[in-house]
Amino acid sequence: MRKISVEAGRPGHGLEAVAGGISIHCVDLTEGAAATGLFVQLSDGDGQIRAAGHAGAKGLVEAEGLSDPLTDGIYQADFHVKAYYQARGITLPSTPFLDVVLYRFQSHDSAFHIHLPFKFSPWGYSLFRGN
Amino acid sequence: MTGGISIHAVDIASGYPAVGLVVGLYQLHSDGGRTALLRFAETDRDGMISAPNLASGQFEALFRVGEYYAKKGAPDAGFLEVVQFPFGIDDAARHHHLPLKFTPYGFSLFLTH
Repeated sequence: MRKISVEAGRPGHGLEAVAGGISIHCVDLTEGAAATGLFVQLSDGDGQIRAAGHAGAKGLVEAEGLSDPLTDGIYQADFHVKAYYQARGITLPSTPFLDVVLYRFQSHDSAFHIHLPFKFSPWGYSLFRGN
Repeated sequence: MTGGISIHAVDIASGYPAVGLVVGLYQLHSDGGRTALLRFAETDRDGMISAPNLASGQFEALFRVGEYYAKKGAPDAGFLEVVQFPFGIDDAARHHHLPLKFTPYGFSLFLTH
């Protein structure tokens, strides 16, 4: 059993639905486990960084500002997949298939909570909006 | 098949191949330049599109998902517009097949043969 109490008690970092903002859950499909340590950054349409942090023990990204309500506009989440596998000592090709992958989306309802479950391996990923 | 890149796009909101999805495919160069392998071509009736390639390095595929659903007359989801998929090719002799599954709200893409 992993310790979850710290994350679960923090607003916006549990799996419960919360109003507005974003939560991002990262799963490493090569391990079938939470991608603890994966670095994720959220920027707005102007390239201004809104939040940045690493996935925690449960795979949820822990970053100040991530759960703040979004104003209408374009956002981009960047996932540092290559660095994650390199830090774990996984051998990748000298030109890896994935490096930093991105997910660009629009928000037009600041009260809607956007949950992004990110499933990945060195060879691909999926990302769909949840709530 | 030696080398080359093929993409098979499936609209999993409908369960059918994505016909007429506009795709851009580029090789990115370290000086910031890029070579178009496909400059905004449409997937065919099977949802397929392909381009010859014998180079290794950095590439990027662009998929005009928002426009695809707009053309179909779907209500505007206002979420995904152009999906960007940057990727690297290490072994240029290997054929890179990329199956894309998408809806107005997300996508998956991975490497296979």
